[in-house]
Amino acid sequence: MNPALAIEEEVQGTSLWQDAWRRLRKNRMAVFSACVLAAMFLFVVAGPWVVPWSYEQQDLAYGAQGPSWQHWFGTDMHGRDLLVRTMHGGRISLLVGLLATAVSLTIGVVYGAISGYFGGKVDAILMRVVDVLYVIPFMFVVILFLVLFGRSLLLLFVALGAVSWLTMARIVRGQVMSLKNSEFVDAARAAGVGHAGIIFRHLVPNALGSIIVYATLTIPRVMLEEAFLSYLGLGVQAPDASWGLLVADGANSMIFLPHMLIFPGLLLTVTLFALNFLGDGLRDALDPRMKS
Amino acid sequence: MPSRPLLLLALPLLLLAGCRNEGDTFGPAQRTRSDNTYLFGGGAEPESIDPGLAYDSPGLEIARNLFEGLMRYDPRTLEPLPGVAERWEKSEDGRRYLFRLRPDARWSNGRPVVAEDFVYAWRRVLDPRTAAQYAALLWDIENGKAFAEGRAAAEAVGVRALDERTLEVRLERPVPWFLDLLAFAPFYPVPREAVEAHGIRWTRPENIVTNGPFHLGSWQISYQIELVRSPTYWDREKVSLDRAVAIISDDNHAMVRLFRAGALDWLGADNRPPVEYLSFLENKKDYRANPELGSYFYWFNLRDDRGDSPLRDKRVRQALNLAIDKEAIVRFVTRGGERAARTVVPDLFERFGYRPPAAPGHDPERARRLLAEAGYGPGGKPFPTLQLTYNTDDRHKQIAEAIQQMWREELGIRVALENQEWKVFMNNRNEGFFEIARAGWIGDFQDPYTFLAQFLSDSEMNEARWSNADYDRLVREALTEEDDARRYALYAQAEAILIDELPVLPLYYYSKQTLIGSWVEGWYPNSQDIHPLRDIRLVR
Amino acid sequence: MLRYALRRLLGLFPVLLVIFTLSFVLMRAAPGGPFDAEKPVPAEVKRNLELKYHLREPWCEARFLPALREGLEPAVERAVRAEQPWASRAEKLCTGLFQYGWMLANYATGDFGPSYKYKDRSVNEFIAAGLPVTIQLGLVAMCFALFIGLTAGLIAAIRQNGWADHAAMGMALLGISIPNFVLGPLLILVFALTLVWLPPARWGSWEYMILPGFTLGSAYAAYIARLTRGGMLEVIRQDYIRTARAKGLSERLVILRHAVRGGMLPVVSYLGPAMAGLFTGSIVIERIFNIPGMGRYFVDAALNRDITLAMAVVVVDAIFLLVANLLVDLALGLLDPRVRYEE
Repeated sequence: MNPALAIEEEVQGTSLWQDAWRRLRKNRMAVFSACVLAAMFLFVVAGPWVVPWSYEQQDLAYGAQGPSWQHWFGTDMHGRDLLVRTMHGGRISLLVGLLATAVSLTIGVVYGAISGYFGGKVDAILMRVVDVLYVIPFMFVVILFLVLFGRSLLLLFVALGAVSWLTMARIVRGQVMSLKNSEFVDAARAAGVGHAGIIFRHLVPNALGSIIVYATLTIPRVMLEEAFLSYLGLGVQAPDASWGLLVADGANSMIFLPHMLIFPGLLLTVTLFALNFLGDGLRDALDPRMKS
Repeated sequence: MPSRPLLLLALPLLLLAGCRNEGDTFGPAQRTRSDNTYLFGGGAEPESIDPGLAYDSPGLEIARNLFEGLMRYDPRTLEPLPGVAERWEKSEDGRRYLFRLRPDARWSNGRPVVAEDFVYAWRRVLDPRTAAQYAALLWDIENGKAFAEGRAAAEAVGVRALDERTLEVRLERPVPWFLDLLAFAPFYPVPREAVEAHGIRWTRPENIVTNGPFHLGSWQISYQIELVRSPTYWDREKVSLDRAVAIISDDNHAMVRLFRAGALDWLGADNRPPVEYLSFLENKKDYRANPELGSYFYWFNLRDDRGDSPLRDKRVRQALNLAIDKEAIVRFVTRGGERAARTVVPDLFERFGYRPPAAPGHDPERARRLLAEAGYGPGGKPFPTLQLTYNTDDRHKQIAEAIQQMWREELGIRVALENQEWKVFMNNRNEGFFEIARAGWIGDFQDPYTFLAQFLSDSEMNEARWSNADYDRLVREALTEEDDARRYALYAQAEAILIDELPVLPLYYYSKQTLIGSWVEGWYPNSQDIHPLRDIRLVR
Repeated sequence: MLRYALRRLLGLFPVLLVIFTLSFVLMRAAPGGPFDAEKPVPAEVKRNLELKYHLREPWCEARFLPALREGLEPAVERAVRAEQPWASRAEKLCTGLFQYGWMLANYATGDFGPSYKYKDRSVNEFIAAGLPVTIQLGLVAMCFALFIGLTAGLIAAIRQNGWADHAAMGMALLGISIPNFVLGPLLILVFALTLVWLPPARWGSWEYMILPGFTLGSAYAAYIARLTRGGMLEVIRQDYIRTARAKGLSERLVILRHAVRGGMLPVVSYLGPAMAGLFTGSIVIERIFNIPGMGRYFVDAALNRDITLAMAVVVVDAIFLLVANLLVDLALGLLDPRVRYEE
């Protein structure tokens, strides 16, 4: 090879993101998990168009049957097809997970960035509030809320999101604080960029790594919290389904109707597994301190 | 931990072993414990065990065994047997009773049970300040209703102690089932000294004074209530059990698991196997499904402030009724031996000679025609979305979902389901904040009147606020009729009006499913699910 | 250190006040009260009960809505309120403030008030009955979590990247991914109904504590295993470990003396949030296993609109968490030489 060209190539260097991407690709479990998640996504989104039943269609005479050629996953007590209900439930579970995480992300990032950036008194007060809120047994408050003010999907998103933003805020604050005196920030200030611009166009993107990792790990947690609320009857309401609701119903009927637990349970567990693995992989990839 | 993966592999095998349920009993074939303590399901935590105040089934169950009234229940037939009353006389016109009390009936603090105890207790139940839920049952006593409404003094109420052991009762009109009523909690005596000394806390184990076959041993809130054999009960020789523990839980899955493991002798009157289990339990020897004296139906809200509701047209109500396949519901949804209902009074009365009026069954065609006649068919007015509310419970949910589907498919009517907690639900129903609300009615005594009384114009229970003068007249006339056959004929005429007007939509007659160990004797299936503990025996 | 601890202790009170206020606001905002769903009682009786629960305050009524002074039927009262909406709101606010003050004074003396649902019981009775049980359950769960988690994490860290590591971390992930209301019935099916080794429900001697304790602790065992592994791996790389090895200390001594101490730090700091999770998790576990603890009381209270009981559970729970977090922070201070609590 031409030595001059070789040297040129070497000098090209890699960016932080490309480094991370390479590390991630090498992590086979993470890649596999991502594929699994993609497949799951396809399953829940496209699946219901393929299955001849609707998720709420009842056929009472065929209630509580095990898997058969007509109903691959079997039926529930009302004779509703479990396969399509699992798909529909997957849509709702993933939606809840994503939206609640999005809510939590939004609140947490904004709050933490502001706190970290301004520092001093503002930071002290904002973090004090976080400390106080941290100790509130949130699930209890959520339960009270849902019981007293009715159950709706919207309330569910907001409640679940509101529970998890605290740690996100702390993480973002930490990142912002360590970065706020860097040179590129000084440069941006010198160029006349205002506070908001600095925070949201310069500091936050640099904290994106931690944000993504934490968000990916929040999704499974939120999905489990939704399952918990559905078990208590406060989450998704019939005839809608969610994996949490299906699993909660299935867990009770386990002795005689194992198919009602196994299918949605397996899918839920696999998805949670994959999300956790992916999150771990992202953290390993983005955090250069942890060597494989 | 190297053995963990192996455990994970073993789990499915163990699961399969558990799934194949061999043996002809669901629980153990023989009793696994050796003490003389009867463990049974007590349902949810009772709000009160004071016999004058108790109104929920768990509370009544406990009160029934701690106290004894003038009469007590025969465990097989539920006929009234002498309790505290040794013998009695009834006047010709059926309006005056004289009861002679047993000399050896005692309270747990040693003093004898006297007639004055009954006078005190009954006045207390009628007293408006007590706010007893069942006060209406005592309105047939002379001036009972007047006292309850503040129009008469307590002393005017027709119950008097002629001497320590003689009680005189005067009634406003003859009540054919009066003796049956006397076995029911609101008619039990209460110890005045305990009630006045401790007020609302007199039912605590440390304060309570009882006269029944059992005494209150301990009470762990929301966990268990322990009853111990009373050493002062007049018939204590006949009581076999040493102790009985009511296990408080409203989680039926946990209770069924306890039974399976042998930790319960009887699942209890207020815990039932979840619906998913029923088809598997059908041929197990320790499973019982008995018809129960109860009726499940939906109220239609016909109050005045619902002026433009489509439900006000009785053809719409009839259409909704005809469109439901009730057989399918009892076969596939409830699955416990319930019977589809065309009328409100349960089928159990048929063996006493009651002949219900003819009523239509499942007829979606006719339903559609009726709907069209009312102006809502194809090309007619659009039918608004109906609201159906029920209290939170799996069974109610499943039934409501099935009906939602049926109305959609057969009539194109959309229904929004809403479940509410019991308290909220009851409040909304009482206040009329509902369109269609679920209801269940368990009979308090063995006469159709207890089911028909709700629909009288002035009944507090008439949630629909439906009013029909002919109906009122027929039922009132029946009350004074002592001859069963003639009375039933009047009831049937009244029910015919009910079936035509449909202030409620009848769905099914109750069946009680339960699990009971083969080692329990003295437990007999009956329509009110009353099994006095004094008759229960545990055999090896 | 002592001054720090005292300062933190004092800081608990404002936090508790915030929590109390938040719960109180929720309670007042909730529709419904303790006397719904019951037979209509005579007006004076109702009024007396409401006065007892401080749902009515004569001073406020006199000031803002004098028409309410006589005992009125609910329908009439509604009409009166509808006619003067602003006065009605003012009266409600005034009554709310009085009730707040009364409840706060009570809470300060440890009296949580009467139960809305069980009219003859005070909330204190429920708490006194349920709290020890929940604490017991939590301790058992924590023991399971620590024992299993630390051991698994230790082994995984030592045999890093070996099959033991992968197996342990796989199991840990499984523990996190299976909801405890699935694991519970599963374990009951296997260990209580099929192999009749343990009781399927209820509470009593030690056999009753195993299944619920394990179920509750399993998710935390998983987290602790992961944290231990991570913390130890980080520590093992540190210079002082290499020094210890170079000095000729046996591997076992190295690990036990140095690495474990450092690796424990993330676990100790996790204990705080873990305890919060244990309280929440006990709601479900106590339901499945029919255990008379506070978690079960809470759900029943919330569903029954027994607001005073629900509120008290939230506050008691918060007190525990605050104290637990404080203890954890103090423990961290002892363990980690890098942490110093400045004035």
